[in-house]
Amino acid sequence: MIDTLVVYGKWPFRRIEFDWIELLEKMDENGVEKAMLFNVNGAFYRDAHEANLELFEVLKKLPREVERRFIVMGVVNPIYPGWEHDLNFLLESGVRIVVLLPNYHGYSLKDPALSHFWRFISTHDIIVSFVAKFEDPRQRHRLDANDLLENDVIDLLRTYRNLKVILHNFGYSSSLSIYLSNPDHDHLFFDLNFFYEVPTGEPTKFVRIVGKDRVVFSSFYPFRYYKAGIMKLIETGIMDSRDFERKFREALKWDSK
Amino acid sequence: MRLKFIDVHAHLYLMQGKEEEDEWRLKYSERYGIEKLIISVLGSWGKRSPLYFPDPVDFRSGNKRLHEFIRSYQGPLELYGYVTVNQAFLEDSLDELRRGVEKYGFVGLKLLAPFPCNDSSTFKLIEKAVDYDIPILIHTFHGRKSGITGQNPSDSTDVAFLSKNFPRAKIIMAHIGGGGDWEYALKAVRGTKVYVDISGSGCDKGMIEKAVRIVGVDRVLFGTDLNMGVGIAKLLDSNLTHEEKLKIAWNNAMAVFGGALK
Repeated sequence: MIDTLVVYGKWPFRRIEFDWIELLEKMDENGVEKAMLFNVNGAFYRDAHEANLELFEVLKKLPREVERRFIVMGVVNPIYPGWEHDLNFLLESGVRIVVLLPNYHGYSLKDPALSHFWRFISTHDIIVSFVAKFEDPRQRHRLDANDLLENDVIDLLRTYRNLKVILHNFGYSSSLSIYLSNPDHDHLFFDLNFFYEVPTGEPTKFVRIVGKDRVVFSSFYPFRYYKAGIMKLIETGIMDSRDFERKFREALKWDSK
Repeated sequence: MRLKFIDVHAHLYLMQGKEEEDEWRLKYSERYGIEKLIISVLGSWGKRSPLYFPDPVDFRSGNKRLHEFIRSYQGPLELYGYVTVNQAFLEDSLDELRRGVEKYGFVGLKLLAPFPCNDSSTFKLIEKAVDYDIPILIHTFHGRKSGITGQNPSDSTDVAFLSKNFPRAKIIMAHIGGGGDWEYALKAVRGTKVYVDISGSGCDKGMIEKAVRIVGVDRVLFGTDLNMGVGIAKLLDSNLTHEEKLKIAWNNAMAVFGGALK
């Protein structure tokens, strides 16, 4: 299994400890082979790419067999000078997934100035991860950013129909709206964070509607207890499904790596 | 000793069209090792009158359905009831509390959210619950209260106020995982006799450890509030000793509910 969301770095609004040993133990306990991670400092540094370089340096210090278990997602700010240079650097470094944080970097997905960026993403077969929020809005610090709006994502997907997108932390109603607005979008994946009322509630309803091959696992470590996301997969009955992850692994070209 | 659980914040619908969901809840409780459930039924769940402001007919009906269900239940779980009331209807609530404890054999009082629990109209209910020596589960919101449609819930400072003024009351502040600033909530009740339940969908890493650090391990109770797997996961994954987990999962509830639980 692939964990699609692990967050390295310093979250400024709550004391959260990132512990590599604990993370590896949790991955092993729960049958997770690899984890995709990014550096949340990229939400706050003026030059977000510095967070990518910082993460590369940290990973380099890990034993090779540990480093190999992590798939780096690069943080990109497409309104900051030099994004294309930085994105090329990421591609040359083997990074094929980028995290976009428009609500932290202060731009709209609808901004026409980004058309060149979206073409670059599409033509280079880059997977885009949107993280809608890091904390429940009901506990949000007054200096934290608001949620990424579902309508912005809906419009983007309508315009760029070949984008490969993972939607993290959107919750049930936003995820469902995005799916229903783009049900034929081939490479659209959702995690179940911020879905409520298990086993009979939102996760199960969602899987029934969108199908098992659009759902991905994300632990959202270390923001959340690792096993919570696993339990949702178990309760929705998709953990053992052959459909689960198949399409996502194809999108990631996982099996050919 | 293996972990087994008492869910101090369980719900059932017990209404037409929701049979499958209730069945799942009981099935998954059994699967996860939740052996005892202390259940509240919130009237008609908003169909007849507002969910957090049920009228007396509504909350009486919910309690009666729960009583009948518990009496007829033949499964492997041990089911217990909270008397759910709306303190805005004080005389009806007092009457229902008496019926719930004396006739139905319910083991706790569940306060909803017509107004915060530090309102003086709540006091008679608290006094009565103290007389019966039953815990009081208070629906508590831990975030910014303005703009919550249909409810005016207590926050942690209201709960702390109530505990300080009724030191013999066994007050359970509901769902620190129910959304909101749970760190604030824990700090607000530190030093009082308030128990906190860990229920809710919120599973921020560190929540359980901080609850233990701030209010003490003896005052933390396991609960789910409809989120069973997540509830189990956050306790199992917490960096606590087995003995501490056992207290939260089982021993503390046995202590606070006294001899009411078998």
